[in-house]
Amino acid sequence: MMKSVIIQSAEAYHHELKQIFNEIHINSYSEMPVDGFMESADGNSDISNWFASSKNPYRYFVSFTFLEEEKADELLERIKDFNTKIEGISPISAFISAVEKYV
Amino acid sequence: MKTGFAGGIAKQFINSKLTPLLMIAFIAIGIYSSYLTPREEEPQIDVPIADIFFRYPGASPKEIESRVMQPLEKVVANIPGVEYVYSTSMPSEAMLIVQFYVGEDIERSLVKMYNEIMKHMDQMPHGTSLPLVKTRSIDDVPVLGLTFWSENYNDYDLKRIAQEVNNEIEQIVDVSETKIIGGRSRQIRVVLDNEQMAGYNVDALSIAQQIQLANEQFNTGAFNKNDTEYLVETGAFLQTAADVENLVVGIHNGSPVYLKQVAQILDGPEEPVQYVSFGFGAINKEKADYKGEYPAVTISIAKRRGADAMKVSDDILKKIEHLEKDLIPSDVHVDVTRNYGETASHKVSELLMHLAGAIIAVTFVVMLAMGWRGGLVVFLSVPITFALTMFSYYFLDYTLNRITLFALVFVTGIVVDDSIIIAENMHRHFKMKKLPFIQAALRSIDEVGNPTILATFTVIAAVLPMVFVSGLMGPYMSPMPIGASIAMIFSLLVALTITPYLAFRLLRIVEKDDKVKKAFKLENSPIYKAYFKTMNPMLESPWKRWTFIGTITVLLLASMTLVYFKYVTVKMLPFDNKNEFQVIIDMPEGTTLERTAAVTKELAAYIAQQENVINYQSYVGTASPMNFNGLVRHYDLRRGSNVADVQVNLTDKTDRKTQSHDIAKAMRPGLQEMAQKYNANVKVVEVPPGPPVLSTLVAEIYGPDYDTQIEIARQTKELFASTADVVDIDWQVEDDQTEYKFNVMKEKAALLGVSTQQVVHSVQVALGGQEVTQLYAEKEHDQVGISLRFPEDARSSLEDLKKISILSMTGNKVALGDLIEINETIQDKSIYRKNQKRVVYVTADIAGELESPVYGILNMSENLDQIKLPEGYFLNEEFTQQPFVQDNYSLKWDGEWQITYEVFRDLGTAFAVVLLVIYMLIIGWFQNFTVPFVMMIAIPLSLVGILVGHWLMGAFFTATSMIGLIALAGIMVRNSILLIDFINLRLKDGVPLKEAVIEAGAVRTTPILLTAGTVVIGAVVILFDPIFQGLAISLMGGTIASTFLTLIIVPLIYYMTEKKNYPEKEILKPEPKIIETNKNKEEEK
Repeated sequence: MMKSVIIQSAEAYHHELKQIFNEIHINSYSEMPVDGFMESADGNSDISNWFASSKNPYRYFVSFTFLEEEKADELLERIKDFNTKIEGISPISAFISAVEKYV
Repeated sequence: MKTGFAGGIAKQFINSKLTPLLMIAFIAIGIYSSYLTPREEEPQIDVPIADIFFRYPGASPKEIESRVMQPLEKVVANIPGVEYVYSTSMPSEAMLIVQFYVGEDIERSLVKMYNEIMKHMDQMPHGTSLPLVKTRSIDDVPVLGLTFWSENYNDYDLKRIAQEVNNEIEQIVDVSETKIIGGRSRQIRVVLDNEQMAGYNVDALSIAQQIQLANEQFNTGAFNKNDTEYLVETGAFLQTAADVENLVVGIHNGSPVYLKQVAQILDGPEEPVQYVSFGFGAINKEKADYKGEYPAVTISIAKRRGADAMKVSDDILKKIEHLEKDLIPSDVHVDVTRNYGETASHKVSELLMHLAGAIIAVTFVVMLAMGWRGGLVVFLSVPITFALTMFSYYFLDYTLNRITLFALVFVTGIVVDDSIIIAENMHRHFKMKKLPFIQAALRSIDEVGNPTILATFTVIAAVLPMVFVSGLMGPYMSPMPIGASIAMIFSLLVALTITPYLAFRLLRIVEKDDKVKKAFKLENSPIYKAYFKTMNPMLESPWKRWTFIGTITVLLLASMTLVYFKYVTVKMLPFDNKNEFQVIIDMPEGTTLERTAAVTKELAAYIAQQENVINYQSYVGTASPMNFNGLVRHYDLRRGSNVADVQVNLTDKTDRKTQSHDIAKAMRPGLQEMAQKYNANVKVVEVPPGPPVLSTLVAEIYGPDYDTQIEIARQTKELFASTADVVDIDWQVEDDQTEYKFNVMKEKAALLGVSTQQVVHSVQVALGGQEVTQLYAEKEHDQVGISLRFPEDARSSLEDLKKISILSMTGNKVALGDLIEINETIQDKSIYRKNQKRVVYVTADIAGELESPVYGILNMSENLDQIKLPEGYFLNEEFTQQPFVQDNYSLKWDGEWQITYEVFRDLGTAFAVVLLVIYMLIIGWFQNFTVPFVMMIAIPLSLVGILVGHWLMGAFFTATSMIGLIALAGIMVRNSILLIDFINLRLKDGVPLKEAVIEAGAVRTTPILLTAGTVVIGAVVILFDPIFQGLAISLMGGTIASTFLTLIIVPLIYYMTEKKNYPEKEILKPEPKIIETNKNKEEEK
């Protein structure tokens, strides 16, 4: 069964994610930078901001790839492991969704 | 990772291994540069000044003026770059002082001047000498003064010792010009005996000729014989006194007349033309052993341009120590009577201490606000900023002087800002824990990058226009804005490179353990509550609003009246606390050297009794080693039997409580009371804190008729005397001195076979003591002159002089009295001109309650109508420029006033430019024409604090206060930007205007107070420096007042201007934002 895996990660983890892909031999994937916006994620917005005058988007990137189901699960597992290591600061998110049809 | 501009720079450094290395390298470069950069007390001033001396024997001042000076002045005035041309036409001689604009290239200016003068030498009247051009610059001021004195040796011996020592000193690298002041040189004095001369039928002139003719030795050629060349030298120089004694000066009755038969030949010291002595002050321990005054000789030593005064002095003193072992006898004392190297070094280390103090104090403030780690980040990055600035000083050929260092002290509170902004924002982002640390760091830097750069340039824009302060004060001022701007730029670079590196390492760690996070509610914070309480009533009620604005306006106006009512007085610069001052003594023209010496001795004895005086040197008939002030006042040219000055050295300023200015002030009345008894004019002259001028207070009288000008000057002098606080009054008109004119009766002289020239020379030999030739003495330091003169008792009355006999062409003796008729007149007065206009100067100093010449001038200005003028004329008063025409009489105020005027004019202009530049910067940032006005309201508000501060401290409002006022404009506008920026940010989020205004105040108060705190604390360290006190008060008072007022009035007025754009009824609901990716939602749980 083919699955599509969409991974969203902070730019800082770019290298680590690549490492994970390498380790489980995922040879083809696509990625693109995205600008993320997050309004008051922790409830007090940027109100304590002393100096900044503009709100820059958060810089993320999105990778997506199409994998066999067990490979996709393995990837998800690896990402989970990784997330525990970084003590909860901006963990990588990954989504698996079915691919209904493809040619 | 994609980043913006600021983040991009930070990215290169934040994790680079090079960053710590760079930090070490920068610090090392800074320390090394500060070691290499020469240290001095005063900044280098490039004012090309040249003194040009002419002799025109026999001409009257009027003749010299019209034939020599006027044409020459025109020539010189046409040279581009010449600012002032002063001329003095004296009997038989003239002096022209050419002063170029400050900053003109010295070599080029002087070459141009030489060229022009030489080109026009053919137009000079016959009989004028070639011009003697002496250039002067600040490097001519000696940095070291060594006074040799002894109980057992006389000044003749001392001079010989000093000459030997001087030879040794001149070998030291970086020593440029040395001068030996005082002491008598060796001279062969031929004291003629009138009767013997008459008996042997010789006269003074023929003796002079014979001596000259006998003193010849010459390499006269060579001849060949037997293929060898032999050299021939003919004649012999006079080598000893015996040679001179045995000269044959004539033949009488077939036998030779030896010089010793008609004259007494003395080999030894010349007749005194000056007396230099040394004495200790009463408080000095040595006074017990050495009670009196001792003959002394002073060596003054100047250093080469750009050399470190401290190093030169140290080298010389080391050498002296060595020479004391053998060359200098043990009973000859060598006292260091001036050491500018040491004082410069003191000053510099004092300022460096201030700097360190400022950094530590500022760090402390930052620690209070941001925790010790934040403080550490700032503490580490500021020294790097300063280290780089030091390096640029070295690179730009600046020296470490009080101005360049003061620039650093002054910006300490401001340079921390950039680092604070970056560190704080990184800290905030680390706390949010939304992104990995590295990305959070870069993002946070990006976020504040532009505001940081803007804030930096606002401050630079505020200080940089001060570069354009012109005139003598320019070189004093320009290192300040340049140094401050350089430091600001480096602080920005450091904030973008090194601060991220440090903050990334130091600020991250704490937050890891910070697991418990309290929900932060802005409304609960004490700042919000306080701000809400003050602000809300005014937002609600227009009445309260206007009352507040009205009160502020009244406050502002009230503080300005402090200036009007003289509670705050304006002065250019206050006096610095120095270790020396000078007492200048002028006896009436015609006083003998001995009389002057006696008066000086008495005054010196009084000075020695005073507290704080460690020693003094008096110079009678000559001038003390020149100081910076003397350079401009030409004190070093003072010569003559009626002048003297006393150099007074005080205890080191760290060992006494009273400032040198107060000591000088206290001593003045006593000295002047004594001086009055002797009809002397005594001035107590202190080293001026800023650029030197002719005198603190100068009135220049211009007009169509010189005698009337002098009369007006006399009345002005009386007016000065009757005005409070005006002291040391003098003018440049000489006292009447009787002059006898010996007119040769031409017919009688011709009949007797005597030429006028013979008469003139004979009288000259008799009175002046003519140096006819020099002894050939290989080992002497100076040439030993052979001088011909009549003994004192044969030349002390007209009757004596009449007896002088002259040998006529027929060989008969003729008495001088038979050839001349004597007219008694008064010597012609010198004629002074300034920029081609005849002028009479009246000078004075100011001491007392209001020490600024401005008030003296204002007082006298009111009473000018008391001066009586000839019918049909009235007295114009000029403040800023010489009168345009001279068909009426004018009084132009000059001296310190002129510089004060120029400085405040230029600073005022700079201020205007500053406002304009800031206005444009804000428009560029906010894209709005009215917002800048709201923000700039903060600027005048600082005046409230500045003026009240000066009033409370009882300080002068000085040029440095003005600098503070201008620089504050940048800081205050920066605060306004922070406030309004946040209001706009919240308005964009859809928050109602009132709420946004209050939130802005609540959130941005802390950073604004932090900046204010660092500026105030940074200024504390210079509060007790006499010169920079004004700046410190401006920065402190201005910041405190303006910060608190800004916090309220700027948001308030912004609210009033924006009210109609955000009608209250329509409550804006925040529109849901289009969110591209709704990320992290799940993980947040």
